Amino acid sequence: MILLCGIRTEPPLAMVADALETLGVDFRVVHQRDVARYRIHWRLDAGAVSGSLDLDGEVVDLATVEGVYLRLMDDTLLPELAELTADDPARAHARGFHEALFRWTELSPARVVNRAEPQGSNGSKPYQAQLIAAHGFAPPPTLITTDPAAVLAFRAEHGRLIFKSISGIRSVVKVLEDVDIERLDRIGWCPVQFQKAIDGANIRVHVVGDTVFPTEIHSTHIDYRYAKRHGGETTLSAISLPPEIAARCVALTQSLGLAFAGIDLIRTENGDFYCFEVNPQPAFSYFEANTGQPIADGVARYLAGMAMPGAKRARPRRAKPR
Amino acid sequence: MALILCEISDAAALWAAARLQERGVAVDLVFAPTLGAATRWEHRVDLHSATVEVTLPDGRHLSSRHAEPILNRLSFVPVERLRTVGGGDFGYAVQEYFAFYLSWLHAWPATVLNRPTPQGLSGNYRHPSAWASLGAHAGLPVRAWVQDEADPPDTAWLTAAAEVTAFVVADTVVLPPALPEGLAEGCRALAALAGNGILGIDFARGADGDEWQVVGASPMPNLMLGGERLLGSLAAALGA
Repeated sequence: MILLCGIRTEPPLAMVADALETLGVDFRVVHQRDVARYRIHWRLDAGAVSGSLDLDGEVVDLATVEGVYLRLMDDTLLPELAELTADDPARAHARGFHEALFRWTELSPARVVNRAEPQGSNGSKPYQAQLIAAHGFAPPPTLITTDPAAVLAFRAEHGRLIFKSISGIRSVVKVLEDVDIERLDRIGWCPVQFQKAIDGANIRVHVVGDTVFPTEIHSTHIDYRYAKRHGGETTLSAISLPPEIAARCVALTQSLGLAFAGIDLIRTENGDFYCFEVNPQPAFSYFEANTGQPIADGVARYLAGMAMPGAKRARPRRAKPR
Repeated sequence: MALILCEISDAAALWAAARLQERGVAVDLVFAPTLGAATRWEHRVDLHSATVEVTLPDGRHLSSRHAEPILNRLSFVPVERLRTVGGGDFGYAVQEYFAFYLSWLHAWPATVLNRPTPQGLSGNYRHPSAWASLGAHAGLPVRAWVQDEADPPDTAWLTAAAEVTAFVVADTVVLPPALPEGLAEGCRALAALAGNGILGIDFARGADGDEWQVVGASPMPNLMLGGERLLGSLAAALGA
């Protein structure tokens, strides 16, 4: 039994549901908007987890759950709860259910895509960059500072710079322009992250277990996610990676404790690979819709413990020490 | 010299600082508001290294080039200065500072007890159910955990009251006299599984009144409960 937890129509979740259907794998959707009709009870005793999940009258023995795909939205924002007061019992039920479900997924022996704890590294880009570097992937030279003079020296050393948030909030990449230099003294309030701008091809590598789905991105804008919003254009195409790079992506994903990840790389003209980020909740539907890469099928097979037919399986290699 | 990063009101850290100094260990206290008022930060990350330079408002300078061991008792980023930012930017600034502190403390090239994690600046603040699971995997007797949708999420963080606390500092276990020696190995294993250089493990007796069971653990324990034996381990772990 596989559980898909989230909103039934959300593209990544719906695509994995379709893939499981095609594979003939038994699954249930824990549709958050039906939370009022759900119950959960579980117990941890001497390291063993047991319990049951009641989905509107159908009781699932949690011991039979082999895989869980988590795409949960913030339950406090569910439309069904919008008109309710903060102390309404329906809100308390929804919170209690989600908390109990979440805690169970953290401890369940099932294949969970992805557990919450390993996703934490994505909340600090320079912290994650240190973990990435330990796997031999070069992060762009990075400076985080409150000192305008340090930024100017960094710019003189590296040339064109970009700046972006340190955390995962307001994560938009911008080029440091001359007009920004004029307001550089404001960074004294809060450290700002600057990086050498790396020119090259943007590559998103979706890793599922030990299978990689690399996609090359051509965009008119430095942050391809926002190109269309600013009148630009982005095109995607499936590519192959050098085996060593593919293996490094798998090893990095596994070392972070993730089953599924979206790794952002840049390949320079010299063939060097820089790694910017490991996204632990990749909304892969955009990539699959534009390239036909069977990423949802990969996630479905991982959840079900099924092998990927004919897929590029990358063997992780031990990273060189820093 | 050892650095102790802590809140002004952290009685356990102040106690440890005073007692370590009595033992002849040089200690430099850096209070969170002082750190939060730093006049200059510079943190660099590349493939081969990660460095940090901090200038404090009182003129002290912390540098990864001359890194001292750290007893890290920061539970949250210092926010006093950030309050002046105001408006919706306050929450953003707090997130930015947390991400920044996580990175520079992780990068510090000397002993840090404890290194930060995304789940807590002084180590991973786990849910009681997660401690129960880890404790069982470490071979310790653990109180069972039960949860359902009727449990208020906030109170689900509450654990049974501890009767005694065991400590693990680096590889050394400090057991209170009430606990049997046979629990030492499990305590050591739990700290290793948790990735903590220092860990307080709370025990209480089971319903039958005989068996000691783990009821919780903390990466920022009340050091005073460990007494002189804990101080000795702490001094050794800090290389002082």
